[in-house]
Amino acid sequence: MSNDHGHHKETFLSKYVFSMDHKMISKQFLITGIIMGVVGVAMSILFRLQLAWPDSHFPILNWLFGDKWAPEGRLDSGFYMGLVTIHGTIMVFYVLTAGLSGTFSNLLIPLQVGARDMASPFMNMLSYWFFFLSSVVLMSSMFVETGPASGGWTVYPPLSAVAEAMPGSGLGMTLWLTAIILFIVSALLGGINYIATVLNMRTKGMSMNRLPLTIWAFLLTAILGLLSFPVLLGGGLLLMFDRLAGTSFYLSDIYMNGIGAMEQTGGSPILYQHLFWFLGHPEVYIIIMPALGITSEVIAVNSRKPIFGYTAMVISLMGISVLSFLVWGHHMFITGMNPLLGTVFLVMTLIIAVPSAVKTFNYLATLWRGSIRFTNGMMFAIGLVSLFITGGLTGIFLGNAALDIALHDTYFVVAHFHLVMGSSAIFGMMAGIYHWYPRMFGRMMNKTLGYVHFWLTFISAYLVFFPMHFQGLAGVPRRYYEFNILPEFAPWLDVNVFITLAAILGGIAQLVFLYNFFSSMAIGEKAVQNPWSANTLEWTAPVEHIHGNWPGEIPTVYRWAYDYSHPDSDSDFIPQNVPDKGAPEEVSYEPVTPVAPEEKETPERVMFWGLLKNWLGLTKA
Amino acid sequence: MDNTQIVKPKRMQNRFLKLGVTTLFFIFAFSFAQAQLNITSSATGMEVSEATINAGEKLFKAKCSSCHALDRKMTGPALKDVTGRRDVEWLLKWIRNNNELRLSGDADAIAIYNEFNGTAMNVFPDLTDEEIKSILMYTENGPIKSVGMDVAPPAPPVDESLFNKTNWLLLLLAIIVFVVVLVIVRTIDLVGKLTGREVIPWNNVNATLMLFFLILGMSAGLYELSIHGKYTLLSNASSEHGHNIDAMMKLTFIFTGIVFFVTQIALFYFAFKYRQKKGVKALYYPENDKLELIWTIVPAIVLTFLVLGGLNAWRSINKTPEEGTATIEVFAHQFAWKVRYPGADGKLGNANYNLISEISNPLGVAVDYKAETLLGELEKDIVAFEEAIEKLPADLGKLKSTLGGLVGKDRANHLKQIEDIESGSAEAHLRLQIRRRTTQIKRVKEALQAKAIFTEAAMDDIVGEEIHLVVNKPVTFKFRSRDVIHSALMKEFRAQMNVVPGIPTQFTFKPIKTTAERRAELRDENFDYHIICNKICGNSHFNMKIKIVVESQKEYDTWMREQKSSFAKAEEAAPSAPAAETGGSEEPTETTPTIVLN
Repeated sequence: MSNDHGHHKETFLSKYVFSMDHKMISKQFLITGIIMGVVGVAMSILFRLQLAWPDSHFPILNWLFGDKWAPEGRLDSGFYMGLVTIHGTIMVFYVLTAGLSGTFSNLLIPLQVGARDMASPFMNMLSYWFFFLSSVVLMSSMFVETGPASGGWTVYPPLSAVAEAMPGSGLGMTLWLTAIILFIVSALLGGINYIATVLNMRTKGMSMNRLPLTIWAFLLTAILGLLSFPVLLGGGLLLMFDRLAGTSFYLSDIYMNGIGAMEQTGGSPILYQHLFWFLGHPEVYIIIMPALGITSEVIAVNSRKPIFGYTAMVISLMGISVLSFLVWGHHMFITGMNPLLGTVFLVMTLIIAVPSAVKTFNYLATLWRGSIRFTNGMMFAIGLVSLFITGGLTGIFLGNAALDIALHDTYFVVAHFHLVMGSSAIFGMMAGIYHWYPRMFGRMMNKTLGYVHFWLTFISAYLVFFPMHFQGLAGVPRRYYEFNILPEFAPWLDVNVFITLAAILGGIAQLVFLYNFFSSMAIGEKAVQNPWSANTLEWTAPVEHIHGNWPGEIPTVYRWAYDYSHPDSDSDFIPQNVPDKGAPEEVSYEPVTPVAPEEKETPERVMFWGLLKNWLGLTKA
Repeated sequence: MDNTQIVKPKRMQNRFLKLGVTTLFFIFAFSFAQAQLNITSSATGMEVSEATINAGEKLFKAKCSSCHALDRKMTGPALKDVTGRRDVEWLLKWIRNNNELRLSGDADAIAIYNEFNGTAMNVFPDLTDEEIKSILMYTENGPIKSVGMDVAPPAPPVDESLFNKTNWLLLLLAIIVFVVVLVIVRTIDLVGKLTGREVIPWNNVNATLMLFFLILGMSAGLYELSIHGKYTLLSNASSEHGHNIDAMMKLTFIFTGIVFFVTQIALFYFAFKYRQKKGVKALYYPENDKLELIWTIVPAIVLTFLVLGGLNAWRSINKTPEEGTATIEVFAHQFAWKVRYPGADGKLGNANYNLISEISNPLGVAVDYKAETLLGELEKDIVAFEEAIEKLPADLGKLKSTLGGLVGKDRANHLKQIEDIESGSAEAHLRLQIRRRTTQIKRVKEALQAKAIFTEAAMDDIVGEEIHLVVNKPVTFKFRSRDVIHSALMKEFRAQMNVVPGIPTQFTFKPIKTTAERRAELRDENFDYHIICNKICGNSHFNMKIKIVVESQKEYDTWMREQKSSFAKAEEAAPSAPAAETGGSEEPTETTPTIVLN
């Protein structure tokens, strides 16, 4: 039996800490992601206090950050920028990349394609621990004397390259770069694994055109990450050299107050922006595609209806993936780039709206004449579609180079990306958590609390980000500590107060979620094997997690994942492992990939555990 | 002697959030008002007068306010009681050139430098004693309130600690609400379990709520549009190309607005309409190629229109500047903008970052005698650095001997300085500075030998702190930054361009409304055009602006006649030639601001 470990006993360390089981690693990613998310959201509320009540004193700020960063309870302007920077970094990389993709790719890829585990469980474990290390390094930058990195999450040089340019460009910036480099290592290790698993370890009958859309999304996300993260790694390393080794990749013609003319010549600060956004743009799809994949699955299951236009959905995902590499310049329209190049990026950017529109219409068509069950997951999936539409449409403004001149780096941009990849992706993540919680923890979350959580979050997401469009249209710049600079900005103070109150509401709503999430692990109702009557393979595995996922043979797949309410069947769903009536044996399958090898102690496993146990002094003999 | 500065307009009603307005603040303010009587005149040795304070306020706002405030720390410290903390003679030296003071080994100067993490203050060598004293007087007295303005009675003292009664009560209240919600939820669950039926038909409730959300959300959105729509940039640009942008904005707004309404209504309506009902099975409808084709092609056609419109607008912005376009240089540094006019010849002189002297040539304009002065300054710097290195052991001894009697922040400062010296980082830092200065000297000398960069064109250039433009006359802003990336946002002109060190950028536009016309349009006497910085550039990023005045040719000429060339030698300094020539200058020959000296 594959779940019989023979000589290998599970210890606390091997089961919960240095686990190589993809289900445990997925929980580790999720819980680390949630913790980082709490920090990130809390930061946003704290700096929103400054925007809403710039003249007030908040003892809590002083209590949290001390006299140096919040004297008399008012945020220091540099530390305000630090909070903004770390908030952005945490949310983009740590919550929505690792927390979302890491969690659900890990949980679902082996379970939905029918594999015993990832292609390389050891690399999978390393991926998590690099992520963990990276989180620790990033958070440690909050505690250094000169404060965390403060140049915005994009950390453009020369501001980020010259330590004297602002306090946050000191040690905090070096730590930021270190954290990001570790993070990229984690993302690459994870990505290679996901791709290998999807391509090589599908069970019998699981042809590519029978893959659930979640897996398609995770696969393409992993490919995007694998192709784009190394570019940021390169960019980050060069920045590190500029900071620490006196090179001039990004530096030229600089005279800094207090230090005089710098020797470096010949570099280009714009080069960094190209390298950054070559990752940065695919990154937003790395964030949103898994969320869209999850939504596709959750909407189909809970509408009791096949996802509409499976092929079109896959093609749009592929289209988005390819195009996402060709649009990075739309972040740089006003860097003085050649107007002809601007033209190209304008066209490519607006083209990418087409596959996104196709996906949206397909979601609507899936809901049409469905039989909708408003589970918590379903509500968040519907919320995602709504936010994705609202945020996506404003992208059409920003992708248009001429309009970007007026809107660049205003609150319009803030509203746009917080809706289309911030809130949307969070909603996708929430949909995933509510939907697969029973699969992860063997218990159900409380659905009433889930409804409270959904409605508060949904309402506050719109209340926070919708008014920002108007601020942006009025030319209010982002990353401003206060708005005394021009009298025209005065009327927006009231709006800022409103937004901050809405943000506080949104923050409180997440407390409901946290309570529900953690308490349900202990007191949630016990889950049945297939609580949502879904078709995909993960629901054929036993509720209790076992190593190797299925006690016996891995199920064979006979159909696609979306046979809901099939007219030929009395039941409103037909799981993928149910053979067709009549001729179960004669169905001609697509070329079948080899079945995953029987669970064995691979040399790699033995070696690693041997080494680790030795190192930790756990060996008995 | 009223205690100004104390009472702020009541912006915020909520008591909970007002917890920060503290007793401490008032005690501080009152004691300050007391002290004022004695210090004021003795500190600066000047007569306290409204005129001086007003002059000081003006200077403060122009030179200091991007990094300092009176009542709180920003990039630099709060300045309200600065004359109480420091001696006036010291302040004069510090404000003129803090770098020099620090180099001379002044312990206070080093301590401040360390406290602000090595971010140096700008130098202001041009300020006279009188001017600095007027600024100091302003910091002591605060702005003069106009007569008759009522001073609001002081608010009752508030306990500022985090764990005060109000906060505990609020926290308790929040917990009670949370627990009540939990109890209700739990009760509902239990009743459901006992009766075996759902207490609340959640599916129908949520379906209905979806519909409510749609209706309320749409109404709220339209309501907001009705209030805030008028502030938006959808119309009334003050530049020629701005109208293309506004038109494009409207077009996009209409298209996306339609899609927004159609899709959101469909989404929430479907969610409501197709909620699960007993006995109704969903329709098995996996695909329809025709539909897919429709919703691929229709968006593609709409986007084609938007792309074409966008390309058209983009081209209109980036076209080659027409004949008669004036050229001015807009220069950015942390945290201020400066402008350089080409002067009578209509040509901007060359500039290079190696020629920058904080003291005598902040823009690094290529003027040979300024370069000679710079060489002198740099050599003096190097000597000072070397002396500072030699003095390090002595400094260490002094620091150690005085350490005993110190406590708190002073002690920490001392310890930091001792550590810096002992670890060798103080010396390494000084040596790096010497190396930088040496390189700069080498480059300046080479440039002086080659001569190519020093042209006559620079001699009549005018550097200023306010941009003046002629209405209906195209102008090219040539941007240059000396330290980090800034971005010049001119929202009224729908213009924006990054200002990148080492890479010249430019933006051409034609202002079509004078400041006065725009004021009339907005019915706002105080309105002014500005450039504000829109790319984070440091701690005072949010405070970096320069005024743009758009005026008629005649007004412009009058103003220009008053401007003096910044580089003419003192004895030759004469008003620059009539501005009509400047204004009518043809496209200047290509200047070479990017020459690299090495």
